[in-house]
Amino acid sequence: MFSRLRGVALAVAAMWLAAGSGEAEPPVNERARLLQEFSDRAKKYVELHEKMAATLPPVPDKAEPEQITAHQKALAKAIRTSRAQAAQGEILFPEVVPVFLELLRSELKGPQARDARATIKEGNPRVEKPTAPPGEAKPKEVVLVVNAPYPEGAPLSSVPPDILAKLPKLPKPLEYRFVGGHLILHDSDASLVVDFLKEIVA
Amino acid sequence: MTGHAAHGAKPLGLLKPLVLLLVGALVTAGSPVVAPPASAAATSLPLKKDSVRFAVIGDSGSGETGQTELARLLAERRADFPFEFVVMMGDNIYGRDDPRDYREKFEEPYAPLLQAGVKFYAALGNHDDPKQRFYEKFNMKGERYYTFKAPQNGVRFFALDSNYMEKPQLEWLEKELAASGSDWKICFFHHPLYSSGKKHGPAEELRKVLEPLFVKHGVDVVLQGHEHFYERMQPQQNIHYFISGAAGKLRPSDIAKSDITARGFDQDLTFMLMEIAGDELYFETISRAGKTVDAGSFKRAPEPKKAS
Repeated sequence: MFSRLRGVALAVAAMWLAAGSGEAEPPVNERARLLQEFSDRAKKYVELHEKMAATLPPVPDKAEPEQITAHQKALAKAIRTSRAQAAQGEILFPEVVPVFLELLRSELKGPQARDARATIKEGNPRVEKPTAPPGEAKPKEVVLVVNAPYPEGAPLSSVPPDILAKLPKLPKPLEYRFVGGHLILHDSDASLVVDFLKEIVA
Repeated sequence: MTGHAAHGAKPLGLLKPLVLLLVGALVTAGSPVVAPPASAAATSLPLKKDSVRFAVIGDSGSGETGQTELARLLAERRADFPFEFVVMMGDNIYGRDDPRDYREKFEEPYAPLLQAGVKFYAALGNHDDPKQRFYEKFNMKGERYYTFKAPQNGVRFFALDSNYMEKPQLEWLEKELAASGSDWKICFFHHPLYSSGKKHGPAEELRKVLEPLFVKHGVDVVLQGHEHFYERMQPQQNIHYFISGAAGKLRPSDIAKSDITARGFDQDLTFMLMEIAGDELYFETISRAGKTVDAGSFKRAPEPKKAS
C-alpha cells in the first residue's frame, strides 16, 4: 500500500516539476507561442478588413449582382490602399514558417496522404488550367504577390478537411487555399491574396 | 460511358458500329427500379397529392448554348411536372462573374422559371466566388452553408460548402441534422463523395468526415455535381447518392463504370426532377434531347436508432 502511494506521489511531483519549470518541453511551448502570434497577426488583418468594410455600404443578404460586385471591388481597393506597404511574411512570418512546413508536409507525405494530395489538386488553378466560356478571356494566372487580386474566374482549390483541422483556425473571411504547390491566405470577401508560403508541396 | 465500352474491342468491320451501340446500351443500363421509357414527352413521375416537387441542376453556369437549351426544356417540363424550386449543385457561374454574367449565365437562361416564381437554392462550387452567397436569387441568405425546409412539411435540405469543410461547418451540420427530427434529409453540395469520373473521381477526404454524420443522422439522399455527367450510385449505407453535374457543361465518355454505379449517362446535358410523397421518392433524369435517361423510385430507410 505504502509503496503504491509513494509511486503516485513521485509521479505527481514529476508532473508538477515538468509543468512549472517551463523547460521540460521548450519546442512545444515555442511552437505554441509562434502559432499564437500567427493567429494574432491574422486577427489584426481581419480587424483592418472590418474597419474598411465599415466605411462601405453593407451588402444586404439579398443583394443584386451590381451591389455585390461593387462592394467587393471597393473593399479590395480600401484594403490594398491601407496596407500598401505589406509584404510577404507579414502574417506567415519567417519564424512560423517551419511550423507550417512541418505540419503541412507531414499531412501531405507518403502513401497514406494520396487522397489529401489529390484533394489539393481539385480546383487548383495551376493544376486545372482553367478555361473560359466562349467569348471570354481565360482567367488570369494567380499571382503570388501580397494584395494581388485573386483573378476573376479562377477556380479555388479544395483544402482537405484533415489539414483544416490541424492548421491554426483562421478568422473569417480569411481562408487557406492552394495555388499549385503554394499555400495562400485568401481574403474570400475581398478576393485578395493576403500572404503566401511558397513550395509547400512539389 | 458508351465510348468506354469500346476499349479493347476487336475490329468487327461493318458490324462494329452496331455491336458497339449494343454493348454501350448494356453497359449504361443500370438497375433502375422503374425502366425508363425510350423517350418521354410527359413525365413519368406520379404527381401525387401534396408531394414535394423539385428539380436538380449542377455545373450549370457556362452561359453556353447547351445551358440555354437545357434550361428551356426544364421550363417546358414544368408544364407537366409543376416543381416549386430548383437546387443547384455549384459552379453556378463559370469564368468571369460580373453583373452581366449573373444575367447571361443564370437569369436569362432560367427567366421563364424565375418569372413563374420558381425559387433556386444554390450550393457553391470551386468555380464560384463565395460572394454569390449574397445574391438574392440564389437564396443563400448570405451563408455559405444553410438549411431550408420544403414548402410542404417533412423534407429538409442542407446546402454545404464542400470547397472548405472546416470544423464549424461540420459542427453546424451535426447540430442541424440532429434537430431535423423525422424529416427526409437531403444534403446537396458540389464535390461528389462517390464518383466513377475519370477526370475527378470521388472526394475521399470529404467522405471521411461527412459520411459518418450522414449515417449517424439518417441522411436519405445526397445530391452532388462537379462531374459533368449524370450518375446514380448503388445505395451506400442506405444513402442514395446522385451526381447531376451536366446542366451547362458535358464531359463526354468520362464515366469509368464501377461496381457502385447503378446508372450513368455522359452523352448529353441533363437535369433531374424529383418528387417526394410520404416515404417514397421518385426521380427522373432527362437529357437535352428530351429523353429520359434514368427513372425510378425508392422508399426511405428507417430512421437510425438514437445513440444512447
